[in-house]
Amino acid sequence: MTTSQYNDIFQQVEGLLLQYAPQQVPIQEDTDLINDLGLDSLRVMDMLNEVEDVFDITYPINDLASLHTVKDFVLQIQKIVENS
Amino acid sequence: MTGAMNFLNPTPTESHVPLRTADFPSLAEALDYAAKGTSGFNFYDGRGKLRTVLPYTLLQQEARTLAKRLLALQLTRGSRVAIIAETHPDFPRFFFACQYAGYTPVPLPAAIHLGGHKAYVEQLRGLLAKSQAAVAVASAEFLPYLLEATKGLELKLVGTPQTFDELTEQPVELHPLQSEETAYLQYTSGSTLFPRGVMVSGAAVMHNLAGIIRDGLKVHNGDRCVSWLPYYHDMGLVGFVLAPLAAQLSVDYLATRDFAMRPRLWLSLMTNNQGTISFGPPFGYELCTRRVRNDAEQFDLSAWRVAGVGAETIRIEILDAFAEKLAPFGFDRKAFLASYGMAECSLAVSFAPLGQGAMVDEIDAEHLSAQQEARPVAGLSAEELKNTHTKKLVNCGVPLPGHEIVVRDEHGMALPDRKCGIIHVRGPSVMCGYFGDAVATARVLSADGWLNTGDIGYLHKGNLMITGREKDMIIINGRNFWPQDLEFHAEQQPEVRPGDASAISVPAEDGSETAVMVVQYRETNETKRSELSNRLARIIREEVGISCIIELVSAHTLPRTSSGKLSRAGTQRDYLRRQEEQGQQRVEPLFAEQATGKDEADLILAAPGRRHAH
Repeated sequence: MTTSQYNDIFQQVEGLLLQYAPQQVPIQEDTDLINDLGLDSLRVMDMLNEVEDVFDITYPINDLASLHTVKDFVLQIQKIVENS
Repeated sequence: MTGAMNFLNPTPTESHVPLRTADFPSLAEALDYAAKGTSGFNFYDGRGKLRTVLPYTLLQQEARTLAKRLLALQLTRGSRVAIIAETHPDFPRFFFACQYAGYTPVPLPAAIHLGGHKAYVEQLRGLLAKSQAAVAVASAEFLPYLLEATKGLELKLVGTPQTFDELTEQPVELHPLQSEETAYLQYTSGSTLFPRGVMVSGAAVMHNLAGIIRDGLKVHNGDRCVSWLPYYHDMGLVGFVLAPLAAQLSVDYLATRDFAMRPRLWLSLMTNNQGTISFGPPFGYELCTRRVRNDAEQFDLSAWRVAGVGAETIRIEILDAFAEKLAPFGFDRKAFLASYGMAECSLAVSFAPLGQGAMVDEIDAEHLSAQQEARPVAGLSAEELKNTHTKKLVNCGVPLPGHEIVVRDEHGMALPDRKCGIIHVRGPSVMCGYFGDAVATARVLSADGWLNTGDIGYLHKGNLMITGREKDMIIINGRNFWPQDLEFHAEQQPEVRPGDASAISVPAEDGSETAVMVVQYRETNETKRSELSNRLARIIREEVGISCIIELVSAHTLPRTSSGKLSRAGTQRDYLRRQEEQGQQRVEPLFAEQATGKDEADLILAAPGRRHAH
């Protein structure tokens, strides 16, 4: 697990999440997907669709349960990318 | 799953056995007959690739083997077997193993929301306890949640399908569930606090299946089903597992999650295997409409003859938009089939006439609201029409043969044509009751067999139109929510006392619904106020998975009934009035308030859970 890979993924996730973020909400490691971005279940699915396409992965739906912050998300994606 | 094959071809549309339309005494016998043919279930992944093929022949063999293994557990007949119902071949295998072994399968939700670990475990725990499940099964992915949820509960075995496959097959003859026994328990609505398990007998479900297949859909050779509906939802289970099997039809499945992520996969599946029958709630059609780009798609929907709609209020505009967008790909709007039903009646109560598309009754909205009467606008003069706000209600058709619908007022008196009241249903598909809940059963089921659906509507020449529903249910994107669940989460906050929160649903500008929670809060400090309302919105998103508008109001604002209970109809009316006063656009209340005078809490408790098709 390298830092540069983490940073790459973070940047891509950031770009992607900005479309879902209310104006003026910056995407940072501790940004809370629910609290700060206000994602509801349908928007979450939209967003996962993009993540799966961008990283060419299958995101296990169960991972959603423990997903709170942008950092959680980047780490989850990194793990999936490494294992695939 | 042992059914995986090297060369994957979907099961054929043609079953090669004479079509029988659910004229079987039990589900086990329906499978025994389907197993003589070549049709079956096909499972597609999130990229639209065929993953597993499960012909009915194989399903029968595997379910019978598993049944003999389950018997090693020596459970009492009728014991509940809880199954986390993912869209996977293991679900029908366990469901039918129960049918052969004489146990009652209980499909449990497999839906997880963002950050929703705790909420999901609590929901499972409530359902396992309420159903008194003897054993529970989940895939390896879902097992950790199941183990957490069963901690401290006394179950005989909790594990993955493999755990159960390791049981010793008993060398005994199988005694499948009979028509008078409970074929399955269907938990209704998304309520975590008040889950109610609908007990459906073999006879009731077979009756409903026959009605769906013969009368509602008029199934014939060449039909093929496509479904992304969850197996733990009655439309997914009864409509798209049991009905196709009882008519020997092949089904192509897409997991709900994959549909929600890539709605166009639904249309690709319809195209690739020339599906003829598929259902969805309106929001499913809406998702597709939003995602389809006309210049970049290659669909052939010309074979799609039944595009069923149900599970939430049907807005004709959504269907029109879908039909328009997909017409270039051969979609015929006459394929739309509106229906009405609920788990308490197995699944279906009524279907609109086949092949005519969605038909609407255009009525005077103000008259409906004021008089609870659906006055048609046809016949009004041009001058009168100009001053009339028209409402278009989709016709849900006539009841299935053997079933009756009566619309009653709050005193139980039958109402004439076009008068709005509470819809009551009677017939052979109606449930036996709620499992382990005689009180809740007695509230909705009368001694002479009438089911109080809690939905509000009217009849016209035998056709049913739904104007509202059980007053308090909140339906967002086809999912049902009980206001009590939302309020419960609010009341967990130190600032909110019991009775200080009232959850309602209001029409959004685009005609869909939005959840609103009105909360009484004395604090005037703006920082504290916004902190509370942000926190509540977040909790609702986390625990319930929906966006909810939080409105903080001063103490003693929430309207109450004479007995001191919260009046949600009143909350809705007041909320809309406040919005209007703030210069918002005028919006129509979702339902005409019924002057019942009946304790609202009774209505809440008396109302059955999952609703379909409005």
